Amino acid sequence: MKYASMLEGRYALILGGASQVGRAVAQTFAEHGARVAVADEDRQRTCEAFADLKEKIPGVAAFTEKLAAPRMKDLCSAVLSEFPYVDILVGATDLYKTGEAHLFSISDLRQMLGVNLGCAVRCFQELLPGMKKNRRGDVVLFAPDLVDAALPNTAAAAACAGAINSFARNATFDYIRYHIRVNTALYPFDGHPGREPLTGSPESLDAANAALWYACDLSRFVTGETLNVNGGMAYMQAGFERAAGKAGVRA
Amino acid sequence: MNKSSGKHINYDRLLEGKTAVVTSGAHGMGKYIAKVLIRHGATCVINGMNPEGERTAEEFRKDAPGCFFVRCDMSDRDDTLRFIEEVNQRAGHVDIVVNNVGINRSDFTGQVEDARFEYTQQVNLYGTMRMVRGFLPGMKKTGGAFVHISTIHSVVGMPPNTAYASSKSAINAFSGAVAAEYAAYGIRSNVINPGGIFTGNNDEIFAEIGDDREKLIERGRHGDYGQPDYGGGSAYDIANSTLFLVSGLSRHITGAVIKVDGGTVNQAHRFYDRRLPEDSDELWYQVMKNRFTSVEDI
Repeated sequence: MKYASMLEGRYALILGGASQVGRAVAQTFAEHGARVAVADEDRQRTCEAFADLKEKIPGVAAFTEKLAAPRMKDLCSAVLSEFPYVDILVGATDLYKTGEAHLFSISDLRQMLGVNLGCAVRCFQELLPGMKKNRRGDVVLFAPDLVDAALPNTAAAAACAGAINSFARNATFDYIRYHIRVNTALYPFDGHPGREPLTGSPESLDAANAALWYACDLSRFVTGETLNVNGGMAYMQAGFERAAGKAGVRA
Repeated sequence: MNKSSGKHINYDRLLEGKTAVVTSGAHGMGKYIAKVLIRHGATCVINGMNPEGERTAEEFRKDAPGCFFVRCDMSDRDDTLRFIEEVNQRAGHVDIVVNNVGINRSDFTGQVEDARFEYTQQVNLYGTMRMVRGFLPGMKKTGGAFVHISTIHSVVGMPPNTAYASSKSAINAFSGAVAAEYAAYGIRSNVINPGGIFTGNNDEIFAEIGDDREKLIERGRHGDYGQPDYGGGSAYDIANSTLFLVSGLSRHITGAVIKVDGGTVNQAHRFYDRRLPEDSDELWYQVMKNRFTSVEDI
């Protein structure tokens, strides 16, 4: 295994590629030898995000498409017109709204599910034939760390996160016989600066390295897994603040 | 671990200048973990009951001159404390501890003897606790990473396994508590739950099989432990996951329990789909080729 180019010969599609996490994933994957297609709906944001990157790393191609499930067929067709196949799919869209549960409309929930899960599912369906043919597919879905921890005003976002996580855990069994893996990485929902016990705030590179691990052979025997990239927030609850206080590092 | 921006991570040498302790690192899975850490620039200290560990350390010193072996019976409190003291003196500073040691002396609960149960806890749980306690003081100054090799039986039952499973399950909880207590010092603690892993001499098998299609297919079938993924995992799969968890790649991950099991635990009610593709031989070949031949430069 070449650790410095762990995705040599791979083709990746990153949904929400102009987001902070998506951009970091694209850069990391490209640096590891993958050809990367990034898709986001804001043309200006996408072009700006990748203008410098395309010069440094030629493996990146930017696509603009409205992030709605029905549009994903066109997106995948466009990507597959440039790539022979796509064997890595990353869902890094991040449309989440907050508010007390009783204030949420069903259309809000439907929109969040559509963007954050529906787009990835639809792309997965479109890319599946190529993955099956190549006996290789790695799907990495990002979701907020609300799967097994709760915050006020996040019921709808947590429902989306739970749906994404459960989709990954279950879909893996449909396709493992084709050596297609599906995994989830959870990132801090609100990015409270300084609240995470470990390093204050995560950098988007931390999420990108988790996606890299999932997508490459380092984790080739890992599937249906959920990885919290949130500095230990999910495990510590309120107690860490006492420990931090004792340590004198951060109260 | 280094908290500085990881924008210039050298992915080819993720552990340059680090010192790691790998318990039971003379053979089996521990040896492969140590090999991968050394490949990435670490100096490894290994322990074990058998003096053969000295030969393994000699092998390691070709790539990392500072590696050494210390004989240690981790069921013995005093011997374990002596090991920690010796390592702290000889190595000066320890950045990484991989608690790989594990014994399985399980009986059906109705027949379990106190002494056998206690022995399992002494090695697996108390040994792990002593390692963490012994190396924490040094790590509190610079940060560090613990990885504990547990088992999928810490979360799902398989008879007869009560002593082993309970000791490893305790390690999972212990790790979470360590993560919470010492996160503020930049010390991380994570667990790997391996599934069906071939822990024998992986290198010999790799060399013997090479790129032989028939042998790869046969090995894939032979290594089918019933996990949804095919062919079982290799020791390198655990080693590479350990690398991820002790390196800067996971610097924002602590308290995690990661299953490296080909999806075994996530199967509801032990159900998994065994419908092979029409050309299953091709699948076995591709999967095992990838699994057995992508580690050649380690």
